Amino acid sequence: MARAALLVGLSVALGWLLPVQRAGAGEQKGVSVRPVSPVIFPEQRIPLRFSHVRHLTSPAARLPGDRPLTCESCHQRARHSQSSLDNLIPAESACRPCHAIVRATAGDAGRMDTPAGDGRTPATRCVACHLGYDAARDHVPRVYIPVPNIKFSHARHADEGIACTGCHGDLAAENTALATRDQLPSMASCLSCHDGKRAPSQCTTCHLAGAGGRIQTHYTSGVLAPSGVLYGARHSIGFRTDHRAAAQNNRDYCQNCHRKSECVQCHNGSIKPWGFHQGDYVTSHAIDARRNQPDCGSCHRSQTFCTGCHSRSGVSSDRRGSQFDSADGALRFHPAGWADATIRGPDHHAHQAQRNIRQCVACHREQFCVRCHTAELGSGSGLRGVNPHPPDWARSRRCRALLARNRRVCLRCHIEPDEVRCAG
Amino acid sequence: METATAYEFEVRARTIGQGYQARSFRLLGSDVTLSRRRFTQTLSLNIWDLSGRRRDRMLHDLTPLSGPDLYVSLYLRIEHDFGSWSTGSLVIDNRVFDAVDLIPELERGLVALDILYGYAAAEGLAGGWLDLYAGRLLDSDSLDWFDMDGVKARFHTPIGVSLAGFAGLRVRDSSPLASPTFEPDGTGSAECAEYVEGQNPGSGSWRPIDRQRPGDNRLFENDFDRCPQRDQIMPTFGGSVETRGFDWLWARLSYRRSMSPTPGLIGPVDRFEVADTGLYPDEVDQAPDWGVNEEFATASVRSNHRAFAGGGQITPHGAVRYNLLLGLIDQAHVGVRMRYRQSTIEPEIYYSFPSFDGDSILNVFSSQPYVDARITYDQALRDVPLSGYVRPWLRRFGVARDQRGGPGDSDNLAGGIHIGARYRRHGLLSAQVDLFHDSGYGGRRTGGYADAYWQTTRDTGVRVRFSTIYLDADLSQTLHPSSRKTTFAGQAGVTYRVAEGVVFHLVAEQNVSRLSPSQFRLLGVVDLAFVPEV
Repeated sequence: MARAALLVGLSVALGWLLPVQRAGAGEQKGVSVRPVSPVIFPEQRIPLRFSHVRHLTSPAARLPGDRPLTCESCHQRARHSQSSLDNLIPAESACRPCHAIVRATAGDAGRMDTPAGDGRTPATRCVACHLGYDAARDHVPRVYIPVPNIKFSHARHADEGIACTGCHGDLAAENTALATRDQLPSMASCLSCHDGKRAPSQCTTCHLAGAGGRIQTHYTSGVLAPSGVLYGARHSIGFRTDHRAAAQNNRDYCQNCHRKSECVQCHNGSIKPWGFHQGDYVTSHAIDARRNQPDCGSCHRSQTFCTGCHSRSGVSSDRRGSQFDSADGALRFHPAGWADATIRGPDHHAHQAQRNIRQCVACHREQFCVRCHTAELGSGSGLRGVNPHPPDWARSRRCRALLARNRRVCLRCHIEPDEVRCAG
Repeated sequence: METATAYEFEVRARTIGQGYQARSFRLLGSDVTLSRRRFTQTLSLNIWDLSGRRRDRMLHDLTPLSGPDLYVSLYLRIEHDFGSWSTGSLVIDNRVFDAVDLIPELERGLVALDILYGYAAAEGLAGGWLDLYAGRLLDSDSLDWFDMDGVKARFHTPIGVSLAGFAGLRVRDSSPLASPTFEPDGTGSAECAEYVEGQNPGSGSWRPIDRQRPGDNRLFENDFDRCPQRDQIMPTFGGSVETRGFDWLWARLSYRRSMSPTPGLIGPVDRFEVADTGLYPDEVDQAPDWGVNEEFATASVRSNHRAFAGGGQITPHGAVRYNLLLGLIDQAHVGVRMRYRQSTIEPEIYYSFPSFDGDSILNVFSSQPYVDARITYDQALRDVPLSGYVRPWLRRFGVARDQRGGPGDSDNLAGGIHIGARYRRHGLLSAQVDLFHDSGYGGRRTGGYADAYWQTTRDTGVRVRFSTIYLDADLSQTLHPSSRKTTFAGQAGVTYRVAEGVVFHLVAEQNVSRLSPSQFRLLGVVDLAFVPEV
């Protein structure tokens, strides 16, 4: 017990002492340290030939009046966009100030579109930028950038003085040609500012909210699940069947996405959870029950659920419908000497009961134990007075604590008031 | 003109019909197969934003949420078991009994209307500092959860700490419209005995409780058994202190106490030839007026740190529960989750000392804790929707002091390994394989599961599962001499979306083993959901 408490303290202290930085504080702005979520930013198709680095660094890439190109030169609506629903991809009109565009089709080769650009850049045919352009059919493969499943206001962030590079990275320095999903911010970089102080940290500040203000998690692009960036509760492959530690810490965090009904459907359910008790679990559950692993008490009450089922299916000793129990040695469930008070060891019931009595009370009701373990020697028939208390019980803290808080449980076996006491 | 307002509400209903077979063992004659037919209806009803604060808010809008949030949340369940499992009869000594009369625990499964939770909430009162809840509250206390009919208040201080307090009646089996799952474990709903005073003080004995209710073959009710202590109310109160708003630290301290009065005389005073005192001896006022059923103090902490040059995280976490009823720590866990990009490794240690309701004598018999150590490693690939995990584990059971070094100081270890991999592509296609082997205390088991789901059309999906397990259970039974067996289970199911919010599922399962040559299960589910877009 003391060791367990010590380990808790050591582990937490270890986490604090390690030379690590607070989540988000060390995030290099604009650089996604992990891929963005395909659910938040669904897969894109950008059949374009384009170089951001060339446009941002080439001496020839200047606006009329010899002004340098900036992000806003092409992404003209970004600065004032208030919704992620807005399409901020530059249209062809953004290219025309510099590029004369030649719309070359099979039947009309060389037709020059107007305006003709600033004259410093060569006239450009469709295929120069549109990969897969089919001149014969005048077919341009479309750019497909789905609406992101997140709230975002470029205007709000720009007003706060956050540069484009703060979220998208320095495309020139990173030698980025075509910007893809890799240039979109990950949640880790958002959290570097959204810490509850500089910017709100409420989940639905950015995540789309469904009914009741919970995060909407189901999209056509997939199901949104925690990456683990915020609290380490990444929903990895085994999370659904092994989320005990995460659920025991900060359940309010879980309820940002999950309703309580989702918990009770499994933990207080009426049907076998197919993904948990897989296969023929009725046949194989005995091993888990003996070890209490996983913790059966997470969903089941042994003195009602287990005893009821065992009685009805005959795996019990209650003689009330079940016929599993027998005094006949050849048919008996437990080994010989199981209840012999003179024998101790693995084949004695005390050994098993002290270790994990939950396995016993799946078949036996509480009163079954009292029949022998009552201190009342003169009542009824059969064995009486077998002391089940651990050594030094009367001097133990457990005795004092239990007696002080619930003396009546002692009265299930002890009648004489003098017997109901602890030493000291 | 004022704009009309509307609440957000969400209704989800699930209708489940299932029929399956379960084997009943017979020493004399062949075993029989009991049929189980169950009907279950659940209803989850939420009415959000009674204050109208989210009015006109669209999914992509940035309208800040402000003002109190008032809502009502309810989860209701109707269940009826009408197969031979519970409504059938049993023959004992040539007399025919209803199964439910012999096995009172079945009574709750016959027909039940349960409200698992149902409460009204007002969050963000007093400028966002106060949350109030009232009704049937399903609440968590770090290491367990409990249901309570009562009130709860939570106050958010400006220093990053929330204070909460609650009080009410603990929901137990005998509570109105309650699920027996919320009864503290350790006491039975059958085979109670009532103390009868003897001729000399302290010489009485116990007799089975006679409710003086004739056996009249009531269909939905057990005619004989009842345990009065489980019928008592269980006042509960407690509180907690919890950090709030720190992304690197979450910590919580909590306290909870549940207690119940001692029942008095049971039935007419003179129904025995000698005086009776009730459920407990009370000739010289031994029986206290009240007893504590549960009393816990719990501490939990989780911390979160960026590590590995910003590409990963370290998340230490731990919790410990002190059981004041027993004067010992009965639950604890500690672990550290370490993530680097798409890889995670997490060593954990769990400690458990089996403990029960304060009215249960099992608290005395249980004397040894067990410790469980495990390491989970999982890995996801970046460009392929493939992930896998491996988890070795070891559990050590305690040995009584007087058994150490003796024959009892053996067979106290169990361990094993789980390994699995999953391929999942956009929810349209998924396949998972899990393999495991474990051995030691309890027996040996080797097997695996395979699961595949394919969404064949926009509205239709099919799922198949297969499992096989080789068992060598460490049971002392001689009824079926060989405890070694291999089980096979196959499942096939189809999901069809009839319309928006209307989904139908049909699942068939067949289990085959030497112990149970054939157990068939058929399950049909209709899911109805009305979740309006906001």
